[in-house]
Amino acid sequence: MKNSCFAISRALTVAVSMLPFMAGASLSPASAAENEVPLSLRLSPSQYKQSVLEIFGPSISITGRFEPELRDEGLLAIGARSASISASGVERYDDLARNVAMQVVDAQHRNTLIPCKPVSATAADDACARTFFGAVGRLMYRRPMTDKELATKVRLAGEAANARHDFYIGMQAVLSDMLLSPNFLYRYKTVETDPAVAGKQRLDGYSKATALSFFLWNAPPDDVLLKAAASGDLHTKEGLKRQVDRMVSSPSIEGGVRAFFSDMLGFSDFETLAKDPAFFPRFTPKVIDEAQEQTLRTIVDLLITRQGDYRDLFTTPNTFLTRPLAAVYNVPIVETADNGQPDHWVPYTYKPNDPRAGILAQVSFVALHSPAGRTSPTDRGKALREFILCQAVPPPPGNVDFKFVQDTTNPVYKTTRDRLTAHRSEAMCAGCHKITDPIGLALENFDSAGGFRTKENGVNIDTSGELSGAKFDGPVGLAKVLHDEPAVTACVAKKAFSFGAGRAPSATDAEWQQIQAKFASSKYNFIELLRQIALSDALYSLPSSQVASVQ
Amino acid sequence: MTFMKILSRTALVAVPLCFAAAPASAAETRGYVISWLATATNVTDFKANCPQNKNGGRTEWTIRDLVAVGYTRKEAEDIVTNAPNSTELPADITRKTDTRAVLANGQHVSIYNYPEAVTDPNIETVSGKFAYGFDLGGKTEANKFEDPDTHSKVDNQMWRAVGCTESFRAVPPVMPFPEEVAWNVMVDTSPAWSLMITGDDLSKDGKVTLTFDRVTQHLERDSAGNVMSNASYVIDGSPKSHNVLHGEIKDGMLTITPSNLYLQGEMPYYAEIAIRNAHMRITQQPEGKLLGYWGGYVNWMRFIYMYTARPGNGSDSVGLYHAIKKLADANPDPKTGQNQEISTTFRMEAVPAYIATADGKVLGMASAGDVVAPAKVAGQ
Amino acid sequence: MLMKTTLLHAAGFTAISLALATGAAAADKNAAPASTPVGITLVDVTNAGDKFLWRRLGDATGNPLYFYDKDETTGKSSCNDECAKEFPPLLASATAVASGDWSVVARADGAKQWAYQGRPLYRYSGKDPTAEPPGRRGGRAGGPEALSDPASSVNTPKQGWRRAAFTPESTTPTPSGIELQSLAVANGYGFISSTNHMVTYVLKTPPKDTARWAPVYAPAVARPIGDFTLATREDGTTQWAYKGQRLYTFSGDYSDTDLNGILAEKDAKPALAFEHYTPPSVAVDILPYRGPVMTNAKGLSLYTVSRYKLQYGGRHARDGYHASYAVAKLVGTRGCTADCLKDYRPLVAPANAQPSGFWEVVARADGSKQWAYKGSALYTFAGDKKPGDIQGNNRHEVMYGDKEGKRDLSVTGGDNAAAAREMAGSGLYWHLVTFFN
Repeated sequence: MKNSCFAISRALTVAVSMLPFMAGASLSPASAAENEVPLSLRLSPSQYKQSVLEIFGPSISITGRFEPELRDEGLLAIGARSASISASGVERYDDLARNVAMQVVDAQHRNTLIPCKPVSATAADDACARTFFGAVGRLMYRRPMTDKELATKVRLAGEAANARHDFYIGMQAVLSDMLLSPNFLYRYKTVETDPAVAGKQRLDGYSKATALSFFLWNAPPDDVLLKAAASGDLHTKEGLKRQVDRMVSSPSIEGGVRAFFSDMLGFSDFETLAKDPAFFPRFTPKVIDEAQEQTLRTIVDLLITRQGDYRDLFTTPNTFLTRPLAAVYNVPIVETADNGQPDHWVPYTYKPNDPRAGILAQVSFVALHSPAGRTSPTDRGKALREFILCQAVPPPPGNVDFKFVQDTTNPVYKTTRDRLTAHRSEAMCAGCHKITDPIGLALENFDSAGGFRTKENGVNIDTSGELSGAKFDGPVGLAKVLHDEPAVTACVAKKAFSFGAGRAPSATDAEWQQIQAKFASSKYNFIELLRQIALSDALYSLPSSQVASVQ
Repeated sequence: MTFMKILSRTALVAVPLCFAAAPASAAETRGYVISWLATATNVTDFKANCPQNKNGGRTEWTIRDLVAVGYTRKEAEDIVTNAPNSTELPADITRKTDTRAVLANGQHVSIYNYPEAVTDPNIETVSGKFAYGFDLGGKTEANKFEDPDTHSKVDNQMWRAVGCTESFRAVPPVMPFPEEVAWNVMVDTSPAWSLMITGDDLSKDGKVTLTFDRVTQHLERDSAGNVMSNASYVIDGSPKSHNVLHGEIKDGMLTITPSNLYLQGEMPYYAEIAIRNAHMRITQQPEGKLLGYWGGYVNWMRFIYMYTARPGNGSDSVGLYHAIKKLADANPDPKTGQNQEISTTFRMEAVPAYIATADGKVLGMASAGDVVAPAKVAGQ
Repeated sequence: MLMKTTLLHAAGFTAISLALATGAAAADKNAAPASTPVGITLVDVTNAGDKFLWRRLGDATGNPLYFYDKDETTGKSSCNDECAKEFPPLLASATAVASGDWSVVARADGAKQWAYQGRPLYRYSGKDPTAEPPGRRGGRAGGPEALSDPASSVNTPKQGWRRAAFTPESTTPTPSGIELQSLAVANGYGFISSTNHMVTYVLKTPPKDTARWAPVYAPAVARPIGDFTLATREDGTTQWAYKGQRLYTFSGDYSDTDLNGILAEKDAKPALAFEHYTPPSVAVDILPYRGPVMTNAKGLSLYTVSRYKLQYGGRHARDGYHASYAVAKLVGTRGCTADCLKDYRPLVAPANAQPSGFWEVVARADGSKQWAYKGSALYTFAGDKKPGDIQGNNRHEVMYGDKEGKRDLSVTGGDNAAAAREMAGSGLYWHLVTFFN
């Protein structure tokens, strides 16, 4: 797909695709639209930042805001397939691009980031420009630049340099242009003829490398992977396996795991999270930052460091706390930092059957899915259905009266359960609440900020619940039921694939069924799941439009 | 209604000292950090306490200082009126007032460093009946106040000295101004003070032990800007600020056997809280908080140093120097006879906190909200 | 310079002592060169609010050293005869050895002169202009802008001369993503990672606990520079190496004043470009809950005494308290005399002690010699019995004057009538040695 970035920047439409909600659906097979292989995926903010970091290093600061992301079918990674760039988005990316480019060529950085010195600093130097853009272009566009592309860049840099009598101004202008290019901002699928099989098409090696790298590392393909792409290695089972093994065993796998779970668990909602300080004074701004990190550390510790069972995320007593978080959870920690030093992370282990074990008891779930001043079992139940079980829950009708549910000082209905029971007496409400409340109420021991309690308005809290016919009591009971619920592992597998591919897997696909079987036989080792997906053909499927057009 | 507002209205509520339910058989220790500590004020009736109304405020003593260096009253008033605010006088004028102290050899020196060389302005001191405090054994009946809560006769010459000074006439939760300014910084920067109360059953009358320490970290603030409850702190192993006092709870009031207390502080707040013959009374408030009073003798010079070291910060520090020195009522210097200590009373508040030792033992449990017994506490 | 670690056990604390010893140049090719030769000091220049501005060179007693503008292009001294009487050259001993930024220049008369980064160094024979005001009342970031500029006219007694700044960054090439920074707790200048602004370490062998050691990755366009090379890891990623040893950051470090990595792996050392001189009788303990504490060789805490200054909070943060160099010199050994010496004991310097870096040797009234760090004479406290004790910390001595004027307040500055308000709070203040980057 050849696009001049200027053409793109002038074709300004806000293309926000809003998929219709699936009314009344529970676990439904993916529709044809969901399975559609995307042609392109817009880089997420974290992928943008990681790209700049990996190419130019950490001293290039990225200041500025990004175009908002779209969440589609529960994942921003799927929303990326239909995310375009609005008028204001172009401005934002332009600001970012100029800022990054300016730093790369400044006096502090140029000697270490630009591999050559111009003959004269006040004039064009095509040879040096060619060396730089050739190298950088390959990394930024995630493929070698074409001769024509490179020649254009060199020419433009030269023109700018001569006009401004400054070689580096020329470099800066072109680099800024490249950072604004769709070739950088979007991950495209390029198709080529498969030389081994007549009439067959395949993704080219660079497209495979890009898919693989952003899936496992949330980062652009590195030099090793690009070379493997160039040599055709990624088209062979052994070659692909070599790269996958390399990447899965690297510390950088943590980047991919973190990016996936941040997306899957809806951490983008942290940007607007707030709690009423009158009711939840221990919920400070530090807690908002640290809560995400707590859950991600818990996940990394279990799934990567310990190579543990994914299902144990709901029961694991092992986590990490800081002093602000410990105050929210109302537990003591012993922290080594001396006065005024930044908060330290302290490994913390709850005792067996402590209700605060597992990620659902953490602020990143119970507080994230609660309004500012009260709990909402409905919100929590909905989040659990959608994020953990892949079960869609319809939105409420437009004319619902929430006043009753929100009346936390009601003298008759003293607990949230009481108020929801009364609310559910409305026939039009009962249908959806049946899906959400029985599981959300099991977490009622956690107030809106994530603090543990046993009473509400002086009344003992009833945390009994039910899921798929299985009854349980409290967060411990819920976690155990989830542990044994097949939808939990099926969901994370589906989401992991979707995260990498930008689309849902086809449930009937034999390869997909094999992947799930291997996930199970590996005792739900999440890293093994990632490996299987990375080795699958499905991750590298062709977009139907490309197949059709080539044919 | 926030907690602090409750406190200010109810002053001292004698609520039975009840803590969250604990097994009756086990001794229990509750942890706290001191969230508020300042001179105890009693500002109910200005006319009765300061009938002369002589001290005025910042403006008045600035005028007095100008008169002291030779301006007429009218000239002084004009200077103050024309200044951006009453203490931002032109530098050359400030230098005159600041160096009006004259030594025997005629040399002009800083009034803040040579207060003895400044004529005592004889500020008005409290002549009213009431002040918070304790009977410290002071022999002069005429110096005694009546405590507004206990109605006992008490020694509090510090309040007599400062109680007619504007910046000390503050109603909790507001502190006397110089203490307020310094305390608000101290909260966010200086290692906090912890208190642990140990007893067989803190919900009943009985003997208790109070352990005061300094901790390694400053206080944590919550999202409303108050000191946070249920934060975790580690005791600083330095014994300098380690105090073990004995007391008892009776009818909801905790009092101690008089003892000495030493807690390291940080200037320009108190360099230290060093109280000889310390008395205390403490009660529990809603949400597990504590409110109380500490009284005893403090070194008057180290107290007033806090004020002379920060000129203009809401006090006539030289006037106070002389008043406090005159009213000092204990521990005479054997050579000069000048009393080195003055009876004083502090007001304190504390919030629940987890208090642990450096090697990982949680000694004091917080008590706000549902307290689930902690799991194994991870090590360093 | 050799660096060895010893484990000290003290009641309630577990500490690792980082004992830095002088000695002949190490055979270890990876050892960081000394920041200054013997006889040349480093002085922090601060403004009236004690805010750090820049670091300069000083002679044995900390007096400013100068460059001569006319020398610049030649690299040899152009100041002789009358010029040299006004600005005496900083002479080097016959046995002085050039190293790194420090070279020895032969003068016309055959004498040897020290030069820094190729520029000969001089002292000034007259009274130096006071461009470094004694500490005034804290809290105000005052002082002329020009103080920040070593080349400014406020920093020199004569046009054509400028104070010599210590500028190791100008001769230490570093790659993008790594910064050279003063690391006080590591006692030198080292490298921090731009990724997380933490100290980088070199390890001879790969770390055992890989979860706690993050490689310092090189960006894709990186090229080797200076002593930095690129090492390819097993996973194909590229890691920076310094002098052949791979660079890491440690997850137990939370700021650039942390050096906890040396507690975690035996052969972990901070990646230093330069190491400052430290007397053999001085060590640094990194204590849990306390951070780094400078101690004597037996692990007893060291203290400074300076004038009280108004500072709203922060004295008990790691680098939250500084006495300016100028004030430290004004107080000198007068900060503790007579009865004070019963409580605070001078850190004695041996007869042959030589100043270097931040360390000077000061003479007490009784003729004995004492070590001074950043201008402050150092003491132990008699009440400290074991490593980790800090009983001598955070102590105020109130010193009001008497109306006869018999009491000498010159040591506290309380007699300064011109600055009556700023110098209020006449007194002395004792504090642990702080580590300021």
